[in-house]
Amino acid sequence: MQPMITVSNLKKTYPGKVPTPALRGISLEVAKGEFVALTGRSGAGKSTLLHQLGLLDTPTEGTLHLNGTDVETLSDAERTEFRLKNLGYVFQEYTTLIIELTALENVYLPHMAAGGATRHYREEAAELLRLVGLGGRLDHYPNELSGGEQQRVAIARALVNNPKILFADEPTANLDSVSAKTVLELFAKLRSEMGQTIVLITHEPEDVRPYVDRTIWLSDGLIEKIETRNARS
Amino acid sequence: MNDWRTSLFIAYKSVTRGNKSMLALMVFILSLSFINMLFISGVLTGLWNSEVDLAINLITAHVEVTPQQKPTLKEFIPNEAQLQAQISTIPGVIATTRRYQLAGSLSFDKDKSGQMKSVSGAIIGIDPSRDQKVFTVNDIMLAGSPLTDNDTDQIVLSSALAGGYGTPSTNDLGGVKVGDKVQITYANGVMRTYTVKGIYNDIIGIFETFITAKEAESVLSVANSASQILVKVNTSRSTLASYEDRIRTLAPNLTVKNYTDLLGSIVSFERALNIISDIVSAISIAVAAVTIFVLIYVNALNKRRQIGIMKAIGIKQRIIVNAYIIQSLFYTACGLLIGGLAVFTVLRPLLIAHPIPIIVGLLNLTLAYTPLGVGLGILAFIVAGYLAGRIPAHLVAKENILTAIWG
Repeated sequence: MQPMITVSNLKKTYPGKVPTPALRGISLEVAKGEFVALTGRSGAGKSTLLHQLGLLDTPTEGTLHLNGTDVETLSDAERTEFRLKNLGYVFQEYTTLIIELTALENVYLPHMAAGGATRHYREEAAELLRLVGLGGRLDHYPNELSGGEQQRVAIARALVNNPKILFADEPTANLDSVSAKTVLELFAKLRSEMGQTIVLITHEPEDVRPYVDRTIWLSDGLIEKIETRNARS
Repeated sequence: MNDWRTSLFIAYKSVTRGNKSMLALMVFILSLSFINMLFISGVLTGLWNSEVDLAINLITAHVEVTPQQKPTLKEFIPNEAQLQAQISTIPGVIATTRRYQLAGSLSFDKDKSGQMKSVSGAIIGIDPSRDQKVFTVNDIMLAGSPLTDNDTDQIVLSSALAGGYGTPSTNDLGGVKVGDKVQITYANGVMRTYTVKGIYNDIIGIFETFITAKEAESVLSVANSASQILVKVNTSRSTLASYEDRIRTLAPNLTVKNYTDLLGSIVSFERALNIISDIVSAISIAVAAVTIFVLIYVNALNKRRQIGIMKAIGIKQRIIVNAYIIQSLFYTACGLLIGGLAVFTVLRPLLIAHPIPIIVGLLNLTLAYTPLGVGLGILAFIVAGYLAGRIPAHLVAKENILTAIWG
């Protein structure tokens, strides 16, 4: 089966007086429907790798194929379109909602931009918000929601276009344990029912271990080790 | 279409949920800029129109017919009564009159000492009853009364020529009053003494002395002739050119001109007014454009994190930029609407109801506009609003996503 994500010798060096290498040659494949966790100490390159995979940044070297597309060949506009239709992204910080939009509007904005019918995207956005436990907060603005609630809205927003790959940068970092468990179960459900490919960053590999297929340890911009579910069981 | 729907949605939410003080400030400044542009250009256009009306009503009328120039130069228009009657039948012609143009010198012995002060000037022979239907000299009498058709030994003098009104000049007679005797020596040698019947307010310095056409014919030894036939027309009914053409068909040998030909000497004044108006308009538009630019840029910079997030979730840069353009055009439209309402429903009616005189009785401050002028002003503001929205939004939206989000 064709991998959903293929990374080959991916390098990223941040320019400056002293160039800083953040990724020093990552190669990996993620299969369709696989749930992968990236973990490692701070500065290991987890977020940098996720930014490259999520097309939020461009690597210095190496190749990246997402769903069979060589994304390096895409123009800026095509990358944006690709992000909109194929990728969902949940940021580490919960303050990544559009402050002038309600929870419902924040969630349906990407669906609207993708050309969804008005009634359809409102219904789907409301359903997703109910799924993340915010059915009663549809018309609340971000400043009327707690950090955890905002993060759940961001997750719903990332899912609204039914992305082929969902990237999540420590999505449970700002959530209480109950909410965090709900989110991870939601991810697992998406994976099992819809075949969603999920790549998630976590500082708590133990918490996500029951849900993920593989946990990839990064260290100093390189893959240190990979733990698979089969190896665990 | 879908991109525009999304842009419109983002813009709508940004305006309705955004900072209301900034919205009010932006619209207020834009309104003032538009009012400034409309007011200054309106005053200058009004001033020009008033000047032209003044010249039409006191000097040129709308159309002037003068004697044949080719193949041989004639001194007078023959059969003037018949020609005036024919011209009067042209639809839209309001009135006609004839005038004789004479030259001569006027002499006045102010102190009755036998020492006369003489000045040269134009002496115009008029048919008073017809002339007052074309010109408004009778409305600006400072002293005495206008001429009547049968006056032969009386004249009406310009205040500038009479002297005693305003600053003394070497070209005035030193202070002629109504009832004084003034001697005129015509270019053909005829010398006559007249009683001053009236003095008119010669505000634009035409230095003319009026006698009746009957008296002029006596001096010139002619009859049923004229140096000019002057025509007042309804300009809203037909163009000046069409009136000229109709008159030319009636009198193909005569010279026919309209007031714009005759006011050639003050065209430079109009040009100067137009330049001033254009400069003021350009400054107003630039102020408006810079205002929108700065405010949109600050707004966009404040929201660069949100712009980065929108790009990260797949919202196209074009959608984001268009959202800012829509906001900018909305602010511009509000400014144009409020500014336009202030000028056309408040300022202009107020100046019509309570005119501010520039020259009492003759020239008031008015606001005059042409649809083309106002339309171009609006278009310029819209273009400025578009660019002032597009450029800063584009500058911020083209930033790298991660730089925009994390700084």
